[in-house]
Amino acid sequence: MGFPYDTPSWDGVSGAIFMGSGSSAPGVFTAIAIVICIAALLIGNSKEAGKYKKHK
Amino acid sequence: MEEQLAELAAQVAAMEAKGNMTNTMFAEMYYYITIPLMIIIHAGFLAYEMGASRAKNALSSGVKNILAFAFVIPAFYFFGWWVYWGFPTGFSLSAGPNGISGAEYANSIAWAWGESAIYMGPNTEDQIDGVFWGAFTLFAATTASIMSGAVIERIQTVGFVILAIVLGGFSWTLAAAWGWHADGWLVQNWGVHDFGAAGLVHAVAAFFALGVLINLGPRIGKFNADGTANDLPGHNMPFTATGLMLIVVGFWGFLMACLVVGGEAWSWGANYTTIYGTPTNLGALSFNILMGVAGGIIGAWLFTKDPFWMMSGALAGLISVASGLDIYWPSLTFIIAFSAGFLLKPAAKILENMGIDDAVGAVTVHGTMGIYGMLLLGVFASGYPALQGADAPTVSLMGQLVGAIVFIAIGLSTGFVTSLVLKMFGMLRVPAAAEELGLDAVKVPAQAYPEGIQASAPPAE
Repeated sequence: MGFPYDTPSWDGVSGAIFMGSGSSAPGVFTAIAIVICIAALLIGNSKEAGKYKKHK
Repeated sequence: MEEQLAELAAQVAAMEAKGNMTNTMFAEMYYYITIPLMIIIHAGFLAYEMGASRAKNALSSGVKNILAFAFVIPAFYFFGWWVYWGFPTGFSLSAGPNGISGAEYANSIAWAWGESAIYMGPNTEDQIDGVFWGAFTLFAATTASIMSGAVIERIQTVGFVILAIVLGGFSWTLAAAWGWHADGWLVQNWGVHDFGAAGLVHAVAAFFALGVLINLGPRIGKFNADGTANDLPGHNMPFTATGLMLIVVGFWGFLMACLVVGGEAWSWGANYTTIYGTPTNLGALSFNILMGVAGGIIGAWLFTKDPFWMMSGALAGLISVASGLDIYWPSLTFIIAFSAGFLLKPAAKILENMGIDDAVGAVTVHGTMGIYGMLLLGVFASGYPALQGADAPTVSLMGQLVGAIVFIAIGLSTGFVTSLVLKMFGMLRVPAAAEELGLDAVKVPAQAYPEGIQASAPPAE
């Protein structure tokens, strides 16, 4: 992603310091994180339901 | 008019003095609070290790863990603090570009005798050194606890304490001098960035443990004749899982202590910075620690459904992002930590298949994931300045790789050599008969469960 400021120095930098600042990367990463959470719940629920089937 | 100006100037000077004193007291209190928070790490490791031991070894595991904590503290006072200030430029012990390193500088501030003694004891004119030393001492004690869990149920107590002293007083301190100190050659020459000590604390301690495990060997019954592994479950999983959560709590103090408070003798300026003088703050830590812990738990849950691995996943997630907690974007932190939690158990299995009996998965959680995190930071933070100021070295994948290799080498070599020497003197492993009987019955004058333990339900498939 690279350093978001013109010169590779922290001197005089104020404001956002996180990776991807000023680009679309933060939004993309947030979308991926949301997908991971939803997928984890779906997969987890599927496996849990499978366990219950053995005990009906 | 002149009198009024003089009076005003005096009032301004008095206000400035009060402001400075307030800042000094805040900095002193800030680091002071990190110390009891980090002791929670040790409460966690104590519970975690005792629970992960079989009932016959529960108390002896506790004794060993408590002693490591106790002996690392004076070791760090006697010589560990000197190592941090003496070695940044390498084994030459020369001064670095910032003039705060080398043998001469360390002699002036970090020996508990002679002229430097004024910095190593109560002193009304020095409010910060004691608490700063205290925070570093708890970093040192943490390394010993990381190693401690891996070697339970078959290591001798005094042999283990000697290993803890070497690790906490020298091995990790050398890594910190090289990769954390502003004069450190890894920082100056390679732009190594390891804000939350994923490599220089976690990986060094884990690879030290691996060096010990090679000489120590597996517990009796761990491996079959054909090389396949048996599970040797601990006697109290709830205790272990709670201990792991306590470790996570304590790491808030650990990471808080990785920040440098502004406006003090050790500071880089008026604001919060990392130990490298680069900008960050407590907000960055709050975002990223929480997202890291959450990602690690979810990743491990998806793969294992096991509370031991889920809480280990929390640690693995946190460690995998520790190097860049100061600058990561929180959603990226979550993704990396999730991957670490997901990969954790398979990575531990690889080590087991190599014949290494790491009783609690410490080498994988702290070592594999620490190195994984250091390298990922090299990918995502490439080009970021690694130090304050113009012409600072920048972070790169190559620099992080070099740092990781050096940290592995420090940990593995010192752990292997020290344990080999202990083995030659018969001080490393307990006799087989004592191991079979259980170490509590052999050497602990107390009983963990005088009224026994009720068996719980068998595990699900």
